[in-house]
Amino acid sequence: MKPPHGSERGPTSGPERDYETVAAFFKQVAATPVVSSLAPPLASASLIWWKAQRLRQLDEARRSARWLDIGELVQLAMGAIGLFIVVALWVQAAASTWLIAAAEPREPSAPRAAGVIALPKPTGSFPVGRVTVHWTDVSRQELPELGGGARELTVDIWYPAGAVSASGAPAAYWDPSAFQQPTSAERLRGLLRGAYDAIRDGRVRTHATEGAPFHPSLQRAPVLIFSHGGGEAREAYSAQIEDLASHGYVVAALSHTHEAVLTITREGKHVTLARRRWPRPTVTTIEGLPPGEEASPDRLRWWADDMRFVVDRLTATNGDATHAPDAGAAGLAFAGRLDLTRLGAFGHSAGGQAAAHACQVEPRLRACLNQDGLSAFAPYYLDASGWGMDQRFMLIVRNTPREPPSAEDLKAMNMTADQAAKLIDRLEARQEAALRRTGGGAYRVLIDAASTTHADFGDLPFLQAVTAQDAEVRAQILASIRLVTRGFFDAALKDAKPPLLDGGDRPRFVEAVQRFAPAAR
Amino acid sequence: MIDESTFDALYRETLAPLRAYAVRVLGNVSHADDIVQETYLRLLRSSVSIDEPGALRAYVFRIASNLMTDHFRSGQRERPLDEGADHAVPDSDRALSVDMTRMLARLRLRDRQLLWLAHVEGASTRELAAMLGLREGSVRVLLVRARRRLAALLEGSER
Repeated sequence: MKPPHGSERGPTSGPERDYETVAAFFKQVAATPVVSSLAPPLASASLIWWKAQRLRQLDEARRSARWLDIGELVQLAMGAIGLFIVVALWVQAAASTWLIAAAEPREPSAPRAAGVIALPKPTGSFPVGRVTVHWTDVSRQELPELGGGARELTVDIWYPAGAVSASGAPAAYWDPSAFQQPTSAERLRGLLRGAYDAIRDGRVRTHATEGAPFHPSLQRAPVLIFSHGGGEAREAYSAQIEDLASHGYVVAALSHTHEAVLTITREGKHVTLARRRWPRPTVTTIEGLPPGEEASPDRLRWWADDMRFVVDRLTATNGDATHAPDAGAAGLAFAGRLDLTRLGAFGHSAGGQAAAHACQVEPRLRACLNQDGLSAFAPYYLDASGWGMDQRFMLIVRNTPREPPSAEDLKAMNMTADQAAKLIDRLEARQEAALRRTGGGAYRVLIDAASTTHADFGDLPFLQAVTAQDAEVRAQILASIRLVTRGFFDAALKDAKPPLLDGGDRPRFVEAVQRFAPAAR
Repeated sequence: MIDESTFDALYRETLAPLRAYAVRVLGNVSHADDIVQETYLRLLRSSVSIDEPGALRAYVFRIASNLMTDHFRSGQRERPLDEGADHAVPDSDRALSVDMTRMLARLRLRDRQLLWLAHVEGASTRELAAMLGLREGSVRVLLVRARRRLAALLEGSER
């Protein structure tokens, strides 16, 4: 044992000797260089400078509009979308633009009436039913730092219902218990912003009935799996989903647990968004882009596996010629009524990329639709052989104006105008290359970017609108997105020929519908 | 606010030492790199105006130290100094480095920060107090104790 401090003099013991020992140790540690073959090289000073400039602009935008609480979203945008923003800003695209645009004060016009807000009415003839199920995927484990254990998913299933009696309880827009825990409430406030109070107070009305019986004369309905945007919420896409159900689709909208703003498990546990669930990729597939700025392939796979698992559970719940439905499925109105030979997937933003990837890894899916989910311009990645997918595909994307980068941007990116132009060309070519490599053919639907935002695929801009005029515009955008989405699945799964996919009249905000012929593998 | 040429010089001067600090104290390269990048972004987003290069360097280490503390408090990455796959150890000197890493891993975060900043960065008591948000009087006491702990560990491992 060492004697107490200071009881002896000289370098052989006490603080002086400790100092010598520790100094020698650190000399050795400091002399060992940090070498890592795995971590990407850090960004250049100019790139950091440039990113900081953009962040300062966002800070400024945030200060100028106090009602807007975008903290969570900015972090997500900067972290998850990363360089997408760098590229996007050159071309005035998605995320950062809509954050800034959303911060601009809206023109004064008639204020929206207070009180109950109904989602836009579904356009189909079927009443809509909804149930929420909790399913556990024992084949996949959560990370230990996220609590470990089997992967748990919470899924809303929307379906065409029979005549709904007056006594049927309307389906709540959002689970009221979500607002009862302070952390959850705080996170939700960051996402819902201006719509928070109305949603928390139950003033937002769906058109669905909880647990309604399935439509009696509809024997088998086609099925769609829906995936929300990163850090978003399945609930916030109800307007799109209800519309599909009213036209005879069963839609299973899942929460990607830990990557939705909030997921409530079977036991009532609140699981909020985990930051940086996925390490940034350390390689880039695009020359000239720093690594770590594209979508993580592992994340895409994990999300696609969530969707595949939901297909498995629906299949088990439904039963087939040789298998009776699962025990416990009896109470579910849709059991036995699903036509799983007519199966599709769609999603928004990160969920759109995941839905596209789901088609690449799941042959049971017949059609996939990606709503405004690009990673360095690509709606999905081609495989090693240069193939996209066997199925039909649609990309709905905001048609952002192309502007050449400014001299300042070029300096920040360490590129000449020529290099930057070539990079943008390569990125655009990637998108087209992907769309030309599908077995079922692909559509690209261009949406007017000046009047819409990335968030307009969900309900929130409609719910957040403070003027009647703005609410009307957001509702019309949703109507157009509903029409295009349904048109795609009607063609792919119901053998319909919607005119809008065939040169017919385009709905408002749709600038072009482009068709890419089926390719041979 | 800092101008671009000042930042450029600061970045070139501090990147390697700051990264070494973050990697060795956190023991995880990718977390450390996140913190390094975030440090510079915070610096540039702040309205701080410091002209003296030494003070600027100390300020950068101060931001990084705070971020490390937050990172541990956030509970999202509670495994300190994990010896997992992304650890910064070249295979050639793995034994040596792993050994040193284990020594560091047995100290508290604050002790690792104090010792690194004092011994590698050569920070004065006053700078340490500013970097870690402590009183100067506490720094002296904490530093002596931290050295005592590490020395005891090192001596223990030699036997």
